[in-house]
Amino acid sequence: MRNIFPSRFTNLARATGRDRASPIKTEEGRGMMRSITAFALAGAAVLLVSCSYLPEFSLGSLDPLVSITETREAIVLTKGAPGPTTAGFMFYPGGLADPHGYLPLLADIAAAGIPVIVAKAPGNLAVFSPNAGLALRALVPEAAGWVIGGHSLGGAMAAWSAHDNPDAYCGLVLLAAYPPDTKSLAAWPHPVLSISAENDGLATPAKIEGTLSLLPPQQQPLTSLGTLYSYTSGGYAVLHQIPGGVHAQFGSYGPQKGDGTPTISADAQRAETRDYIVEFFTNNGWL
Amino acid sequence: MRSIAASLALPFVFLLVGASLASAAPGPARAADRHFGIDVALSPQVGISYARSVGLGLSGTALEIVPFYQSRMLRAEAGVAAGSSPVGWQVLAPIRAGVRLPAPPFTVEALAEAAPGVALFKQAPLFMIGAGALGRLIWNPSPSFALFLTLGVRDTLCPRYVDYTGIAYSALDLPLSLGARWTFRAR
Repeated sequence: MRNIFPSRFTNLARATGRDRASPIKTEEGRGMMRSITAFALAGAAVLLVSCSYLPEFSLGSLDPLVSITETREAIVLTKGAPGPTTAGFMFYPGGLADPHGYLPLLADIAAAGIPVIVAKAPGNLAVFSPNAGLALRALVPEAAGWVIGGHSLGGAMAAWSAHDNPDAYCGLVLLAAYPPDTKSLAAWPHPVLSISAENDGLATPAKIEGTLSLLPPQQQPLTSLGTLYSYTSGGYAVLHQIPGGVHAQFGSYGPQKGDGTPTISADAQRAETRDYIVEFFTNNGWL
Repeated sequence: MRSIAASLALPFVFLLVGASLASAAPGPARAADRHFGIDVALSPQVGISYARSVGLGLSGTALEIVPFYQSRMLRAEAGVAAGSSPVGWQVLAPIRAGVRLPAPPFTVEALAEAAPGVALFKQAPLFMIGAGALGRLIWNPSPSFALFLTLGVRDTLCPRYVDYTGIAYSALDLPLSLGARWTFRAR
């Protein structure tokens, strides 16, 4: 048979067959083992920084009236059948955060009558499947439309998908997130809600401020619930910063490395987040 | 707990029996057939059930680096399989033993597998255990190098995941590996 591996492997075979010496004692063998070792060490280093955050909350704290079903690809939270105009909320978790870490926030939103789908991602990194939500919408066929959103990396990937599929979603919710530079939503034809946190050490207020040009130019800061929206149709962005909030408290997975120090409780930040999201749905006629 | 203990014991039984059988054949002719080496493979895991609910999907993809020891008819191997899974990222230590059927330039292998490991979480890694079986077709273009295709079935559990998430994690997957093998003759 013609040898299709003429260089290293032929030498390896020669060493093995003729000399009956372990090729690991040859330069080729040692080189190969060094390569494999380096490859394995590099892989181990990647894995060490790939650990996800486990959820940290009591399962008993979730609203018992919210139904939670789970598949390999998604978690679905519903409370009864959605109304005829109720849109669903497609949520992308933050990078390297177990998706169950968002159940307290999302169960609260589902309890308000909004069906929620949490899109799981390979390796808990939404960057591997930014358009996963498109197919998952079929899990709640009764929804009148879909608002996509996410936290941190998940929010960026939600913005990515919203940019590439403007007809698939009627709104976007960003939690401590902003669109990627290449996926500007300045011309996106639907409403955007951006919620950030004052003491966020990762998606810092400066980063949020510096990326506002990637959102629709009609923008309105919201300082309190019940503020009348200045815009009611087309592409606009409403912005809210949670005083004393931090990055990790949008989820329930404990403190996060690099984050700031909260001066608001996790429960209070979660409740404020829920209230602004529910109001966003209500003001746009999706609930 | 009894099933977890049994699963933990299984790989060591595999390794012990496999290695013993592979190295038991005496005589110079058999000694020439004994080899050690290393397999490197990329292994997508096609999921057929998750949390005991049937449904097709991609469970994840792993990189496997597996040293082995084999005789002409028997084989034992133990290594590392690291990659993504429905719980994020995981590292398993697959331990396999089984039989070989050489038919040059091809070889067919049938192996039983136990795979203890951990799901990687920042707070604390969670113990995982998998068990399964696999069949492998190897093409040997040279005495020291081969390419192979593996198809198997593996059931993986992460018993403590339910404590954090409420979901009793189990995944029945069909690991499909494409890999390369470097073989060295044992001295």
